[in-house]
Amino acid sequence: MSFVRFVNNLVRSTPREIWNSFRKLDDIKYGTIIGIDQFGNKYYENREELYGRDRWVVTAAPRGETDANKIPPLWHAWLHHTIDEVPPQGDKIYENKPKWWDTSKNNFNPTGTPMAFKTYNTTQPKFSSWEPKVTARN
Amino acid sequence: MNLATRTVLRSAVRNLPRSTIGFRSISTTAPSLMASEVTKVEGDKSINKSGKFEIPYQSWEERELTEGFFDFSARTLFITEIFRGGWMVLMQFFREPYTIMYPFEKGPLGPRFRGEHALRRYPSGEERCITCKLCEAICPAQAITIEAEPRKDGSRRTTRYDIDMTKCIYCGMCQEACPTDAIVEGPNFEYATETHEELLYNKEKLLANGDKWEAEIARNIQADHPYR
Repeated sequence: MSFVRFVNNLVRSTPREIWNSFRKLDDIKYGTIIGIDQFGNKYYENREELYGRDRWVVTAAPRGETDANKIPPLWHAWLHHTIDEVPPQGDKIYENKPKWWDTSKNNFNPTGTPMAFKTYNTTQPKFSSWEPKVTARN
Repeated sequence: MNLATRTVLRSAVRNLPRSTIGFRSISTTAPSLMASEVTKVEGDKSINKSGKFEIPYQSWEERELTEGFFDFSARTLFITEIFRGGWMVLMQFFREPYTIMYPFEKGPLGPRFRGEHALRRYPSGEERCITCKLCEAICPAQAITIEAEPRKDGSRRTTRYDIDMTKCIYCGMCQEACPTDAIVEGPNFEYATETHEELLYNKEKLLANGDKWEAEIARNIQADHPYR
């Protein structure tokens, strides 16, 4: 029964949690904090909720600036129920993190801003424009 | 109203001309054209006298005639439909909503999910792609364009690896064809853009995707490994 759940969540949460939860999830939810990522997003879990609603994130960004890209890859997998372990671990190969691996890259969707991706050519030009050589006249 | 009376009434209704009782069959096909049942079940009301199958149907008048007294009274006096409808609304109001509040809550996703493309690297940082062009050849939408040139150290690498994400049909053929697991379809599907141009990915963009998503991509490939 949802009304019982509603009252339970209301009683168990702190006022701040209620505010955040209502602002962002349009619902009062109560769960245990599973972890906090490098951006400050807090990940919660409550296995009593419906499957698909049992894991959620309260983002560090305010509601208007919420962007799904701000969730780093492995937490993304955890949030999508792809993996269950917390904190999410990568492949064993990458225990020594390679330099090029950067989960904080592209952590927002730049569309509509001047930083929006615009494709460019990655090859050498196959032909060049004609450069006239004028020989001096007598 | 006992059973005998009801049976008499029902047969009386059946024998009436159709226009009298306002009978309307669901189908407009002539009864002689209707398929007849091969086996006839005794006492089956859906088989009519001539042995033809008939969809069980009661007209409003027929229903009123065959309805029990208490059924009729209860329906009329207690207005049960209104209360049943109201109860349904009330129960739905107090029920836990099934709506997933995206992007704070998300639906389940398998490790084989085929989302945004990424070009992977080896742990040393070297690109995996060796320009075999198998992905370009197999791509049913012809979304991939590859150009190659030998690099200064003699190894074969791409100079152009473009994917038109608006042509791509996300079939996953490219990652199936790839001998080095270089091109993969990652787990990301949140890259909606305002313009078409932003979805014309080049090599740098694909490599950047790989750099970001590598941890999860590697994890997903590892999870799927026993099935390959």
